[in-house]
Amino acid sequence: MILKMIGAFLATAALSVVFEAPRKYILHAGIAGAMSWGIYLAVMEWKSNAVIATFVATAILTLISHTMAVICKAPVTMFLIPAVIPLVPGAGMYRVAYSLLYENGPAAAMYGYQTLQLAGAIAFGIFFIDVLFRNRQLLHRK
Amino acid sequence: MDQKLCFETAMLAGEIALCSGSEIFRVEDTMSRILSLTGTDQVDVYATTTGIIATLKCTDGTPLTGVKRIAARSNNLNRIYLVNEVSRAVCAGKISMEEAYDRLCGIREQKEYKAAILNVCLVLAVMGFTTIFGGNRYDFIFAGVTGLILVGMDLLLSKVIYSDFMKDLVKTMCIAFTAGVIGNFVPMVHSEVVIISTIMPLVPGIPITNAIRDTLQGDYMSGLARVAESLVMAVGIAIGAGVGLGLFTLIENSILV
Repeated sequence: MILKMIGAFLATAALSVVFEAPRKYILHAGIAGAMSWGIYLAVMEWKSNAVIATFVATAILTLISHTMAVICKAPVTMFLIPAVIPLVPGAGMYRVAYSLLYENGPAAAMYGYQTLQLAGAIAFGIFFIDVLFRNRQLLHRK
Repeated sequence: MDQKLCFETAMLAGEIALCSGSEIFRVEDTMSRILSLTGTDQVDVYATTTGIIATLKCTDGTPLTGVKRIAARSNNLNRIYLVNEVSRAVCAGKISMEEAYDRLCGIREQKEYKAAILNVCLVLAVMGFTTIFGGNRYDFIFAGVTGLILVGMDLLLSKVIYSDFMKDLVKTMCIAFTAGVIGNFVPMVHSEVVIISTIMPLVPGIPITNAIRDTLQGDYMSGLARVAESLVMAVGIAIGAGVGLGLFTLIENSILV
């Protein structure tokens, strides 16, 4: 698990360079990515439900990103976007194409359904925390 | 305060942020904040994924309106960050509007990293993904090879093909084919893990994340536009992977038979 978290750290930190994040925030994005992947793995071990694990991991990741954004006075996007990529269902999309290629309709439908579920879990994970922080910002402005 | 200059600055800030892949909410917020410095209360900013419209009623009563068409978008977090810094500074009164405009002009061309570093990091990211998808150490090493192919195709295709859809399709095709060949010669390698890890940087993670945030914040037009963008990218990747694998199976079968 530690090894996987190091892998996630490497992937997100390197991706944040590919997305041209500012130099000083590469480490932040890597840490956020490693933490969210660790949470995902922990929840997976406990509940073994990918949708719940993705939801919890994304929600906590968004929370971390917003906290980092407040501390560093930088846009949330800086940390959120590189770190959310490991959770994005890229494997699911590939498996849909693979199943279609071998004319395995039921498998394609199953993977497609799973991919949509995971995308929805990410959407709500981000949305919930976004709403909380938006309310805080609006209160501050008034 | 020079209201025309203020308007130009806001338009430029919005354009750079949108071209760099910022969310719509942030673009509109940044532009209205800069425009509110003019002191007039009639300010309207309307941004979508493909363009910006802004209007400002000057103190002498004449309206100022600008339209900016955004044709190409790429991901550049550094520019979003710098635009945010400039708008913060100018709104806090730390720098003058002229200085803000000059700084924004500089940001438009700015690159944070050299191309070589970007490419090395792309390969590193691909290798990192293999651990996430449960690959072994052979997967880790051979993902470096497919990662290099990804970078090579990137350099090769940027001059030849202009459509992003076709570029992604050709890239994934080559990756899937190479991974299949590697899997055939080195039995310890899971070619599926290698393929998935290598296409992860191409997967539309940013458009889909922004699509969700835009839609749930009420920017339905931009949200839908971004959903369409990510769907097109996903279809391109899926077709590419399918064709590459199909090609590999075809050759494999014809050699074996």
